[in-house]
Amino acid sequence: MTTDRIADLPKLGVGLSYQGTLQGFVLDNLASFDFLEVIPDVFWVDQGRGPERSERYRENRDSVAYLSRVMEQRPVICHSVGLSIGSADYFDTAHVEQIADWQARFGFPWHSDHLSFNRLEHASGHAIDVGVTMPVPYDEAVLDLLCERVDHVQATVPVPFLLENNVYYFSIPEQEMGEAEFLNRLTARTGCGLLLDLHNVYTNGRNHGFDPRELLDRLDLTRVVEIHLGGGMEMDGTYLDAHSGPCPPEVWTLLEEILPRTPNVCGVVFEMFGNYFPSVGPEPLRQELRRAREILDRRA
Amino acid sequence: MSLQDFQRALSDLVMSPGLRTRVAEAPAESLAGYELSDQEHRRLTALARDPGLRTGTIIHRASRLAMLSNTVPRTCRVLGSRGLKELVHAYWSEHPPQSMLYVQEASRFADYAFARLAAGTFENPFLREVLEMELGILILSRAERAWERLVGTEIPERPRLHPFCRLVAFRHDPDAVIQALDTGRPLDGITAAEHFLLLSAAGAGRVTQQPVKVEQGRMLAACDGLRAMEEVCAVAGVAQEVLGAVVVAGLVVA
Repeated sequence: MTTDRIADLPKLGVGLSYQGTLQGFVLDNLASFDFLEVIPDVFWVDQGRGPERSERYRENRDSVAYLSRVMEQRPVICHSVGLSIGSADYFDTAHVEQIADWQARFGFPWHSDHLSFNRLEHASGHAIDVGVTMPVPYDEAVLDLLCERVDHVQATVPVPFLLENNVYYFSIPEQEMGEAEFLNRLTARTGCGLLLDLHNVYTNGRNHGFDPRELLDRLDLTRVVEIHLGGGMEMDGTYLDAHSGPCPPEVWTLLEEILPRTPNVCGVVFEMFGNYFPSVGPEPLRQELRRAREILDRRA
Repeated sequence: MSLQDFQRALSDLVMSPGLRTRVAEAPAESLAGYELSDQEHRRLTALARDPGLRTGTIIHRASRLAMLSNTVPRTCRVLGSRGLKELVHAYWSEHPPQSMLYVQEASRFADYAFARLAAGTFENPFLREVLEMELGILILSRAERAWERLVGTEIPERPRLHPFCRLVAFRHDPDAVIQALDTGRPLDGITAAEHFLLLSAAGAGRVTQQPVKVEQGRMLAACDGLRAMEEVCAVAGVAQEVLGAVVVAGLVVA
């Protein structure tokens, strides 16, 4: 992939991250967002590695039918959680092929996953999911491993691939490079794009005592295709990227500051976990989407 | 191999507060089972003391708990917050994760809970029936096709329940239990009585539930594929005609 491919992507606008509890909200509030971002993994049951791919992924027909209905009115983007691209012990090529199948069916113009690992072979011999987006060491060897895998993803799925910067609650000591350098070298070597989660940057800065601008100033922002926003909460002295409600004011400020420097941004997505929706309610969610749109419009 | 073992050790540190304590106290001994470079060893020793790992543990446990709350939500309600906390913490401490598949995790938790109930080390009069029902629904919802009535009226030599059906023995009225759980009412007032609920795969992820008469339920429960038909009738305490009726209904097969 080249920079030109990123530059040619459609500018979709404001996106809403889909959760099961938002089914009704999505259909009733189509005017409040320009595209829907979905986690494809929740539309199928992964039976685990072993069987043929057609057997391995059992799609939930009702959910896929719902998605098709939404797609008649709004574009859909896939943001997967199933690749675990940083896992040292295996690379799940069947998952990549499944994403390629979905891209052929649903035609999303780009797709993304997380720069972390969460799946691994346990000592017991079973594949497990830690349930945490675990950080990978920012080392040369890890960079080589990731570049090879990103190349594979890009050769298999014929649209730009983005990786999301990680939220981390502990920092691996003695890393060979910083986060910005690692991300810049990864995107430069592979041509992949960046999904810049500003709430992750804010969370990391708050928990690890640095100014998010220190990272953003060092990052090659021309690689940013999509931006994530979200809210969090404090727990026992740690700020959690909990996707629990409105976006903190500091994150909105960061968005306003970096948009002029991100010429290839095509979408700004607001994320909130579905279990918080009943208590947060629809109007605050609409407000967050409106605010994102106002900031994007000002840039335009 | 080294990065692989580093990730395995780091994941273990996140999942196990006990391992963190051991590594902090005796790193060489506690990390001996992993093939690590010197640098990885230093990294893990430092991380074992990092308070951020505790946050990782909380997120890991929330994720593992979500595997149960998504698959067996009524079971979680039957247990209540105190009972759930007691049971899952004991389960997690004895059973590290083995699968990222929700059904397998729910089955493994069910095996643990049933063993605790059988041993008398955990008590809850509604747990077994509700957990069996939810597990049955979970498994049948993933059946490759719907249950279909098979043609044939002959009683098989060693009858067994149709593989796309499951029978759940209740010690309370299932309707009353389900309604109470779904509306947040207490279960205390529901009196004990023998009931049976038949679950069958209906295709496309759906499962039908229907109560069956006690006589028929006992019969179906005895159809384990091992007993001969005479023994089935004797165990269930019913006449052979009852077995004939469930054969015609397509509920048991050879």
